[in-house]
Amino acid sequence: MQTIPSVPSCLLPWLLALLLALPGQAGATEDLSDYVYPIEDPFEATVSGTPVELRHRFIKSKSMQRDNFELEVFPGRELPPLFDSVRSLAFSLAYQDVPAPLLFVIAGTGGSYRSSSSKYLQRVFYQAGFHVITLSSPSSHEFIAAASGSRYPGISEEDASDLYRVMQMALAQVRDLIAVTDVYLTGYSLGGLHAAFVSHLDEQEQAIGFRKVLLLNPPVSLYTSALLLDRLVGREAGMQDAHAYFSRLFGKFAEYFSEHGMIRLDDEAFMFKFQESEQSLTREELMALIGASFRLSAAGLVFTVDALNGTGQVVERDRELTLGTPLDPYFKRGLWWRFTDYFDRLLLPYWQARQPESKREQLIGRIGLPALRDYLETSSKIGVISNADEIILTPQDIDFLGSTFGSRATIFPRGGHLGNLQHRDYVARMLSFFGAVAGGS
Amino acid sequence: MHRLLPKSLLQTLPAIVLLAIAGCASQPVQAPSAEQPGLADPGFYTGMEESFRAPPGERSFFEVYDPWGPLNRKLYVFNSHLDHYVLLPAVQTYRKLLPGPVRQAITNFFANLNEVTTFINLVLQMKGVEALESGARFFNNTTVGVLGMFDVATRMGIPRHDEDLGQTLGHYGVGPGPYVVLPLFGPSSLRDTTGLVGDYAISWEINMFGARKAIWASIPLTALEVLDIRDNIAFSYGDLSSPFEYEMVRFLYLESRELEIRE
Repeated sequence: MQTIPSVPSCLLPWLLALLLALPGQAGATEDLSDYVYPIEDPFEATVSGTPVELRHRFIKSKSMQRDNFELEVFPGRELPPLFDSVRSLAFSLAYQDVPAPLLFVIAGTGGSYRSSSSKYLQRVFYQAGFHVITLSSPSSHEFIAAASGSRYPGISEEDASDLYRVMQMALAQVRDLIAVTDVYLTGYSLGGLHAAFVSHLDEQEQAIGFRKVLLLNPPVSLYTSALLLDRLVGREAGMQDAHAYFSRLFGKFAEYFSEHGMIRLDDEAFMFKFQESEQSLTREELMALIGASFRLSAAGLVFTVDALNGTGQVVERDRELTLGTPLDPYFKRGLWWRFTDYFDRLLLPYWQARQPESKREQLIGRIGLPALRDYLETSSKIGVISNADEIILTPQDIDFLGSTFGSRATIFPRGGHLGNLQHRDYVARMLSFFGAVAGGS
Repeated sequence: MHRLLPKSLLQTLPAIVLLAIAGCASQPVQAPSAEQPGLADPGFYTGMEESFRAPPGERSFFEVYDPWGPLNRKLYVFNSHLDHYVLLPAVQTYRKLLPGPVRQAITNFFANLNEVTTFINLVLQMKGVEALESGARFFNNTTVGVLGMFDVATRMGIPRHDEDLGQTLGHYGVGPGPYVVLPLFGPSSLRDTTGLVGDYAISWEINMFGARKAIWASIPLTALEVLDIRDNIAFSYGDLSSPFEYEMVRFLYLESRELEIRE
């Protein structure tokens, strides 16, 4: 709830002038040899993020102009009362007073339009002179309830057409408020994969016409990334140990408190201080932390899909979900599911019901960047940023990014999964790809 | 009136993740029976209950006692609407009207008022050094710091403590009891609600600066305090983007209270 500083409006015309004066820097590959990122372990990088002194700097001044909007994507859609609060799809717009380019940001797995990474990107690009709309991930419960045509998210093409519909509606809704010069697109993590498919769809439909598209640490094969994440918390081993493990973890936090007294956990550098203390988490603990965080997203996804389709895999078929229904048993069951369980037990049956001839491997092949290989190879407007130690990718996946995107791929040597998103070099690369000038630093 | 939500913990990944697993092993109350009519494939869940259970003899780490769950959940939704339609818009106006340093002075002022209950609770917990520090903070901030508007004590290096009656009760072994969602105040427990009432009675009796008992002053003052508290909470309903937000917040609240008590 801190006020978010941003560009003073008197500076905006000036920034915009700069922006117009310096077009076409995109594609220029930065020299990565100057890149400094101290964390060697990719799991620690993923949890801790970027040291404060290496972060992109914002202009600290008055708050950005930002409003939330709601879209009724499917008016009159029937939903259990439990989902009343997500009947319409909310999104956020940060807007300039002057004509400016518009950037769409698609959130990562299970993420909402106001997740911290979405807000961060919104601020970065707002200060660089963009209007910015952040959208929830098709895998989030709010998107599934309000905006998923099939209510089975995960099939990239279908997610993309849901997103594309939402984007057009959002554009229509904000048309009177802002003057848009060009439209750009980005997404992080799973949202990066979505961005590629949305861009591909846009080439056929021509309803928006994205000028440039940037994928931030996307999965290459969604199924492979799901497997990698599932393995961070094994069902048998991990969950069996969950009790002891989390007792120990909480014990460490408690110990840290008693040694350091009152500390602010929302301190941006907290994880760094914590990792330098005696209580620092081991690699295994960091892995389990990340795995569990994704597992939590999976639980929300599985529960929502099951509840909205009445498949009876999590919620008993005859059970009505109201605002007062205790969800504890469903939370527990949801956490039992891995992403790959979702694939095999919900997504694949849905797909095969419509495509009886289709094999499991075919679906796996459809949900990933390789399905768009030709398009990605030849389309000069699409770029990608990732890290060589990205935990959701295999070395083959990294090679795929390099060979497919060529000079449009930027692979930082370190950073884990989005651990370097706030790094000044990462931000500089994003901005230069879109031909923008940083508002800050 | 101390906190709507444990702001501190809510913001960190570890905490968020902890509660993930946490939700797992909660609810001895509503443990589903072996028979689950209407469930398509109950066999899929074989082994689930066992794997989430605490080993015998160990404190059940994830146990959450929430017998008033259905009512609590409705109040949670009520609070989210109150937040969305009343509190957040009010806070937005508050921020527009008052510049940062003024709001900081207001935050400091209320923190200084609460120093009194912190002091009393530190005494009740027989934490001598901390109580002295708290008393010194109050003395310096009230005088040099102009009725608490400037936190000079922190700059003088006197550490801040935050204790309430709920923590004191916890300190003496009183468990949280049933989880409670209070209208407006948000997550609490029977113990902490009791403590809240006690703390309020204390500050009413002490009647600092005559502020509490004079109706003309206490109503706008309470409104200001609500705005200040909300302004300083970095969490909004829906932030966790999960259908299980209630379960997560519940777990976070209870665990962070346990940490505060052990601290």
